[in-house]
Amino acid sequence: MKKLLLALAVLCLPSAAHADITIGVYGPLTGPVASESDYWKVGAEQAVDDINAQGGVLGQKLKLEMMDDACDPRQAVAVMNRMVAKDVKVILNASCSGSTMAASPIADEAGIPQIVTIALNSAVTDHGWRTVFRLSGRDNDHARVAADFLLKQAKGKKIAVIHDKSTFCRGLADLVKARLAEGGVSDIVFLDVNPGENDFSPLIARLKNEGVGAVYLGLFMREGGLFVRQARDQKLQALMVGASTLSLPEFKHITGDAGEGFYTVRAAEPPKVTPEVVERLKARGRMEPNVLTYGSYAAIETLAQAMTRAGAADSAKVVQELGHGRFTTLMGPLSFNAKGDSDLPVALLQWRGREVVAVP
Amino acid sequence: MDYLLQQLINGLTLGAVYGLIAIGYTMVFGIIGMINFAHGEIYMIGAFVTVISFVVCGLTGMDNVAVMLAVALIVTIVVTGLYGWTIERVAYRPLRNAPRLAALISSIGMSVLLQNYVQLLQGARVKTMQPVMQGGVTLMDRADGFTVSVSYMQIIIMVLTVALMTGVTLVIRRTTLGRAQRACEQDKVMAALLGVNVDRTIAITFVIGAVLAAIAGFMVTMYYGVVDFFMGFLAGMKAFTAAVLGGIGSLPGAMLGGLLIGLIESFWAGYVSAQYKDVAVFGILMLVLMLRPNGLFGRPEIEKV
Repeated sequence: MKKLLLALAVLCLPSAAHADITIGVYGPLTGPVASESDYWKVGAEQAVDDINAQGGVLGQKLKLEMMDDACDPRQAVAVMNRMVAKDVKVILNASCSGSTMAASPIADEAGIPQIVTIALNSAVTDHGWRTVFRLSGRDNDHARVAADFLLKQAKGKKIAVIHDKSTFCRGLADLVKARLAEGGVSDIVFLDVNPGENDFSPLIARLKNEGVGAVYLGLFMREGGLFVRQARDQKLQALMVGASTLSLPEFKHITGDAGEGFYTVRAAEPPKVTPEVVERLKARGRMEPNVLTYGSYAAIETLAQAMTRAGAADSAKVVQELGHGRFTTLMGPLSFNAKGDSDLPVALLQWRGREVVAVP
Repeated sequence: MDYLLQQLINGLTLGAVYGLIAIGYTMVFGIIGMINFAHGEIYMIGAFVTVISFVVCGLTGMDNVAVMLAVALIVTIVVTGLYGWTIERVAYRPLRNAPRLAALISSIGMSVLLQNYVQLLQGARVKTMQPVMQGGVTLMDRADGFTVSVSYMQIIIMVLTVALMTGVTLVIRRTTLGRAQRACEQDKVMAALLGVNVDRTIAITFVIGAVLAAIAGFMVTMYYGVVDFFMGFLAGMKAFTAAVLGGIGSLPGAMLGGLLIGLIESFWAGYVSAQYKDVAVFGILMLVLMLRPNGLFGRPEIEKV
């Protein structure tokens, strides 16, 4: 309540903040993947506070302009148009692949740099928009790590690949399948489910019947969690690896013990995170920060450094800096290649208790 | 064979839940001739109340699972029943003598209202619950490692549904309340003249429907562990389809319709494609309605003069 009042108070302040630098932020604050916003919002807000506490950027304070696209491409277009109309100079994009693909042409035309922290689909950077920079990694890297793990650990077993038809999941599933085929496994059970589905028991029985011994899950945490929970109830004995979405706490909360030992692939945890920043993130979000929190924190840091180096909050100059410089962030040092992808590593992780840990 | 048995178990569990919700549609239709489109939302509210009761139980330091289950079930039944009663009182009773279309639109409005109300109150995020009961029984082992298993939750869902359906059938066939309900179904004016409290009977019908939906919501929450404000829509549509398939207004029809839909879904997903199972369900509904417009158990409506 207090927070709400505070937020209202902030909203009601006269816009005397002409001297502030506005960072546009968009992502799903509502809709089916809205729960992710709890994590990335905290990271972005904390980064802005931390930077402002140290004097801001170029003597000016940073502030966030948050907009909701609900991970809906149509809404993302409207959001991006509003960003352009508001003359936002830099953007943190915490949205899905589909939304990013829809909104990026507008940002690109206006020349506004975006740092993408969640969207994984390769097409986001393969398309060639020069203002898109990505921290989250590419789905083909994620798929490669997952498929190589399956090829090694599930040798001789029948493998199933499951997805929910969304841009993100379908993309991952196709890539995993292709990589498995490259590795000589062609007899793959490739199935899709309806998003929002609750009951996977017929599907699981089918996998059991076909003698599937390993499963790749390209699903969001709700469906992924339900699948794993029901697989355990139905005694499906299979090695399971899932998309980065299944590394979020909701997944383990849905699965309970059934999710113990589940493998997932995503950007590696920060190698040596600053403990006091982690403490602040923990206190602010009242929860354990995760890769989404760190990602948006790092994105704000990167934008701030690029603006400082550019000497102005100017879109064109920031794009140039982002394309060339090396940045020090919570996630480790990073730079972007010609396509706009960062060099942060992707890792295989495993659920142990309440956290995911790197698999050596 | 073993695979067929496994899919049968899965389908029956699913169908049991649809059947329970479908009873609410069919009873209300039977008595006031109206489709209560807000019924799916009642089921969703039941699921939410279950989650909230569990959280509260956890906060008070209760650690006996059986007691927690009992408390949550009772709270869910009472609160959701109250919702059912209130909805009838607020949205339908004032329209009792209005054209049927008015009540129908009122029910659609109620459905939208409840969905948004829960979204605003509880947030758009999916609520999750840790599994309360895990594990199950292995019925059959095939040589290649395929096991036919049924989880404890599936057993509970099926047993509880059979018990509830028997109970409701007995209430309607054998008790004074059931006789009053049947009387109102046939002729409300005549029933009132003979001393039946029509308003009360209709209110109780709504409450019974709501309680059954609440129990369905409770079981689904236990079984899946995931609840969101939009879950009532598809479940409501499926249950409504079940009621129509069985012949709307007919109690055994609703039960059979629910089971059939569960089985169609499960077998279609198991043998054809998981993606097209909803298409299959609604396709078969259309087929049945073309051949038997009143559903499997429905009686043709005779215009009384």
